[in-house]
Amino acid sequence: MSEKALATGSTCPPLKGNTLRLYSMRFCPYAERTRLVLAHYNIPHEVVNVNLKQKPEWFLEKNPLGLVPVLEQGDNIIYESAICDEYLDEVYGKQSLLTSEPFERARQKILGERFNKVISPFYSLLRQSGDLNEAVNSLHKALDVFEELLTGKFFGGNTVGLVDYHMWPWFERFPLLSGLSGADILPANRFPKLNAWVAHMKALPAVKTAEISTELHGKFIEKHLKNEIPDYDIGMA
Amino acid sequence: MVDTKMSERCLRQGSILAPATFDLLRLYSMRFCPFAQRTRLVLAHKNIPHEVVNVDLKYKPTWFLEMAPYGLVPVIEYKGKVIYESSICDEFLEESFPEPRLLPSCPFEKAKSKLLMHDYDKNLVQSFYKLLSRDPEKRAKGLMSIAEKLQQYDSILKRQKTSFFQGDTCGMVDFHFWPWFERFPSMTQLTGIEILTSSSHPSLRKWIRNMENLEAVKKTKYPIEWYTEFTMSLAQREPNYDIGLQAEAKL
Repeated sequence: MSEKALATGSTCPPLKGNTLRLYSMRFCPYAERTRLVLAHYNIPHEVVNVNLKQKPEWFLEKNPLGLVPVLEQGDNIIYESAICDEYLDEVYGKQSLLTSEPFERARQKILGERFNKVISPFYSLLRQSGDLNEAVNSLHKALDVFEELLTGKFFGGNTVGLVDYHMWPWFERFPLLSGLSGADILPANRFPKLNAWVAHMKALPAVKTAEISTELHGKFIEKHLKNEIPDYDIGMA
Repeated sequence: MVDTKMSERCLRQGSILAPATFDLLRLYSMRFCPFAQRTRLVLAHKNIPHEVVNVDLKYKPTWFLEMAPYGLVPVIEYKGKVIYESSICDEFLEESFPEPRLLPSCPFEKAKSKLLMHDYDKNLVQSFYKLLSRDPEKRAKGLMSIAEKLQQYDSILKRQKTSFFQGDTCGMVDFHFWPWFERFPSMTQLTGIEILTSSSHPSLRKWIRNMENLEAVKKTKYPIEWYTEFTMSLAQREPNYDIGLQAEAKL
């Protein structure tokens, strides 16, 4: 199956039998969360990449919001990254990423919710809207919270948890952000624990499978930032 | 005898909080908050023993902000731990007190329920408050968006032929939706807008009657006038969270 992103006017590849399919976009951080969970559990699946600026009509029938990730299997369709990932964790992982213990599940979900406070300034900085120093400051302040909250090897505890995978895609893009802004996004002296966590994450097989190089992220985002149609297939053979 | 009406008064900045009992679930709430009402509905329906501490959301106590950084209700304190965010609280209750079941056990159906609830928050809830806008264009947009959703929900119930969104017994989706439907008559009092006319959406109106018959709904509902008075107090920037409670006895 070709990974090239399907656009308006394309035909939706037929879904065979009980195959689990992920609709994705190679550079989307939200879809990356689901790709990480799929890789973590080695769940057999196929990927259909979607052109998010020129969306295929059939895609909007699957998810009226027109966003990735979307999971499809038989007649079943699920979207929203958190809902997809909790579903995969339950069906394929016996809830070992999010655990089955209610307090611990709530703790991880709350952390995931709080991470939105990092994602917002991340995009402000990426879009280079407003004062640069202020944007870096906001991001650093938001990250201070997570530096403090990290008490173990992972946010999930001694082993990786769902919340770690939920946060990872933005940390993967921090070097890109540092390059674009000229600021050190995750200075080691201010964020020693987070830097250690990044190293632990990068060693995980799922992260190695799913991650994309800073260079490629840079090439992709260039067009986005100029409001041109991005090359969703950039970097593919 | 404990004057239960007194303890419903909201605690504001400067107030002292009695420590929670480890094994008794405590809900931090506000009597007119629809998000906290979802949690109160779940607590009532599952008959979970609990106590309620109402919080002044304009003059928030420092202890409240320390426990819940967003400073919003609902917040659950239980066995020394604190949980916040409405959906996270409700899912926690479902997992900790599994009977009666409020979410489907089938993972895909559960995911579908979560999607329905997520969509509700993004659309109907957002549009509901637009009805209070001074801008007539915003109000019209809000009403159109709500009408679209009501049509969709009516179709779902019609297609399923069930008494509730979850099935023949009520579930999380039903409780998730309910607080705004309960406030529709109040919105009519405030704006003159009829959100659900007496002739439209027959399946949805049947659902409303089914909901009104639930014990949990009866336990948590307030008179329409109180919602109206509360919203007006909000508009005047001096929210009265204690509407309907007996006046404090003068010492």
